[in-house]
Amino acid sequence: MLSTLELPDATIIAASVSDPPAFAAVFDRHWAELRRYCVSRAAAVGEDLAAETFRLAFDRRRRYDARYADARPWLYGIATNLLRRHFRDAARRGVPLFTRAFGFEDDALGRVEAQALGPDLAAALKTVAAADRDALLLHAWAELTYTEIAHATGIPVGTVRSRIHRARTQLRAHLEEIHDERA
Amino acid sequence: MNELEWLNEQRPEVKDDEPGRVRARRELREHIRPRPDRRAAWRPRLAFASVAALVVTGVAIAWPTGGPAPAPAPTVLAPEAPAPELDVAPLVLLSERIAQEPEPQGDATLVIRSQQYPDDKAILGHDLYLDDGRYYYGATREELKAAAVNSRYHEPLVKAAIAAPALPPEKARRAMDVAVGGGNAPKVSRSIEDNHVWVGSMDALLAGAGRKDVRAGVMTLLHTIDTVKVTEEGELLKLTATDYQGGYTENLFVDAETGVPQKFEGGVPGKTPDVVVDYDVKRVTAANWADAAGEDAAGQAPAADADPSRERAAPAPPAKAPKP
Repeated sequence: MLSTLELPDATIIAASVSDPPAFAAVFDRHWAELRRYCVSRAAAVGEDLAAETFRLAFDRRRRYDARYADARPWLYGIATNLLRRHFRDAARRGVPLFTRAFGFEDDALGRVEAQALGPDLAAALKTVAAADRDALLLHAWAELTYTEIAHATGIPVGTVRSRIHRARTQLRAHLEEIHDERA
Repeated sequence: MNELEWLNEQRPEVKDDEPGRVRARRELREHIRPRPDRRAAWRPRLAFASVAALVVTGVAIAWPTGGPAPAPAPTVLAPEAPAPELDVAPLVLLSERIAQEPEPQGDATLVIRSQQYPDDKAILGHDLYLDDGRYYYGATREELKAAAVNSRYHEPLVKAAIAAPALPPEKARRAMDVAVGGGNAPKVSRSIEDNHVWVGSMDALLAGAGRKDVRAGVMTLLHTIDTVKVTEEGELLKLTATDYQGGYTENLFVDAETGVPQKFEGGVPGKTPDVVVDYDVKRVTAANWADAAGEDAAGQAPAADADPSRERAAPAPPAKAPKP
């Protein structure tokens, strides 16, 4: 009989439908990486978001697409949505209900996200659109492939490719600019 | 060094945090243990106790006469329906009937809900869905008053529902699947798409419960799910989805005349439900929703800052009191 260490995520998640505690194995397998990603992007709050990711994943486990043996793209997709919501809510926090239209642009690198990234990264990524930023960081930091990012974010692989290409181009241009200034 | 290498070099250092891991694991275990199926509990959307709450035991329905509704006791899902199973045509007829309703007043839908788990007290919540897509949540009326916008999660689902009656069934289903997928989704098998349509339709139905176009559209979509059974229970229609693993079943109860959601149950038939949700739906204007919430919020007075000269909230079409 296989131990949970040898079973693919999809099998464990399917088992957790009738045996909920089995889902803990998914946590044990992916917590460290997912927490690191979330904390990298959102500082201390990232740990709460990582924890919330697993709770949401548990609640949604019945909808897990068993064609995907590895749950990482699924988990990172949930985490990405939570991070986006966190950044958006942080930008809107304190705005009273119904008193003004919201002018927040989803693409903007907000204060909270910028603080978490630090000044150098924030400067480099401030011109990169949010969706492109997500794709780039899922690729660079979460080490997801283009296909996995497509699965995580629900967009076509071609779109992922173009988003990462665009983000890298902008990032490269920024780095060259800095290099020129220093030279 | 290329830009990816630079990006990794710049990545904020994150140290291991064993206490954090233990805490998160414990929280997950707590989340799993007492509430074996917290479907939809992850977001502040489902469920709240309502004056119009239906306390269902099997097929017996009690209709409260006034005052705050007690939290419904966990009940046992009826074994396979003794009620006659209807052809799905009732959903088409219901959709057409809803479309004949007069245009609703107001610009928002307020859902006051109670979510009940077997070993928990009721979890209360207030959801305010504006027709423009904004969604606000507060556990209490006071929290809702102070809430900033929570999300626009439901907006694409509502749009997909509204569009459904004018589309061929397959396109309508696909549009809802894409909406559930956040704007895009790989084409999936029929049974998985059924699940997405079911889940997305229920979310849309709550967000647009005060709108006839949304309710009509949702009934059109649910009609396309071959595995959804429709049965009559008094003045309610019970929609049952069984296409889950482990015998898990979901029941959505809607008013048979209006399609307004009244109750949701999830669990294994014959056992105590994993979750029971009661809904009280009101059509409101965003400016005076607090009045409507106050009428039902455990005897609380209407908001002190509410302008009494404003139009009072118009209740959404209520469920009829079941016949004794």
